[in-house]
Amino acid sequence: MKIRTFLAAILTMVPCVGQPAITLKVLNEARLDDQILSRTKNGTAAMLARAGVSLVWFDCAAGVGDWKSQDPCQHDGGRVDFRLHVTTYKPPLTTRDMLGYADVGGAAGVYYPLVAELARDCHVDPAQILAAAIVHEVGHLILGANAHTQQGIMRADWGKEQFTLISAGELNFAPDQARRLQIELRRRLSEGKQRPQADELTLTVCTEGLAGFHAAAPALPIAASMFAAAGIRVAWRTSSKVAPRRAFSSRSGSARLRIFILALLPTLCLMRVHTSGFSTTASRPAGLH
Amino acid sequence: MPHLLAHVLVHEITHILQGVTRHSAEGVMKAQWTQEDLSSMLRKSLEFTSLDVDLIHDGMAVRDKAMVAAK
Repeated sequence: MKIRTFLAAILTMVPCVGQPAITLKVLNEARLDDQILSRTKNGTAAMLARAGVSLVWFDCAAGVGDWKSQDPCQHDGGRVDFRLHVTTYKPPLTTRDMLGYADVGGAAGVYYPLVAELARDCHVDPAQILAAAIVHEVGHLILGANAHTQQGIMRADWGKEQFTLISAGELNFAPDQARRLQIELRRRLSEGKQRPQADELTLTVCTEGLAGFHAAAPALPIAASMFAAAGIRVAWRTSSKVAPRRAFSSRSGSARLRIFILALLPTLCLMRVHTSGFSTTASRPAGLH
Repeated sequence: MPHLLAHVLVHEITHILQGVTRHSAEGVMKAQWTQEDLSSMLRKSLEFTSLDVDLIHDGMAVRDKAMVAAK
């Protein structure tokens, strides 16, 4: 399994000379089969190549992080390194027709059930729609939230015309946007060479009750990307065994904290953060301490 | 839900990292998130202010020194 993961990455990571390259770490939370994932990978790479961008794709496991590991999925590669969730979970406050979302901090997601529904309705290979949706969200990760255009892959809403183009393999970035993509990526790559080593932080998340590991896991890469924007690299460790007394009496290291997610309810998030000598509780979504 | 939980995690962890009790007027370290903040965090994460970033790094440096001294 690991060999296939690395081989797949190598096959798509041969960057064309002179083209800026991005890294996409893909979390297959929708459990797509290998064939669909492989066609998606090829479609995504082809679309980005037409915009002058090379793709390095990694198939990553969701959840646990360890920056000491050699697995590239465990490392933050900087501002041209993105995480992409192929998910069956749709964030609240989003519309029924929301196909994907992007957090310009470095993570994005595509909602696969809608991809499958559109593929059935429009008689298009779901892998082609998924690849196009991934490229659209990558466009946001690079160009920002206001990157929508009237034409091309960055159009905000897709209709029959876009799905026909997707099916023909002809939905692309508008030419001026492809140039902007390359300029922005070169700028980030050049900045990245000058950036100092980020501070490192190891965070252990312990869950109990309704807050199982799977409930908490999707939040961790988002939080990591927020800290990355502040120059802090986070390594997550997780534990489903809660031992607050032990942790409460232990001495925390300077960059090692334990976080206890005590309960997760649909509308109420109750979280307590413990370290030695300090605790704080957030009991309302909009009321923080 | 993941976005909200991520923001709550970041907010509370940042308090510990900064080692000070303060909130910012804007961004993830606001004391009260509005409905607009909650909606916008689905599209784009709330950011740290530059002062928040400085305080985080200062706080981590202080903790590092304290740990070295304790050894």
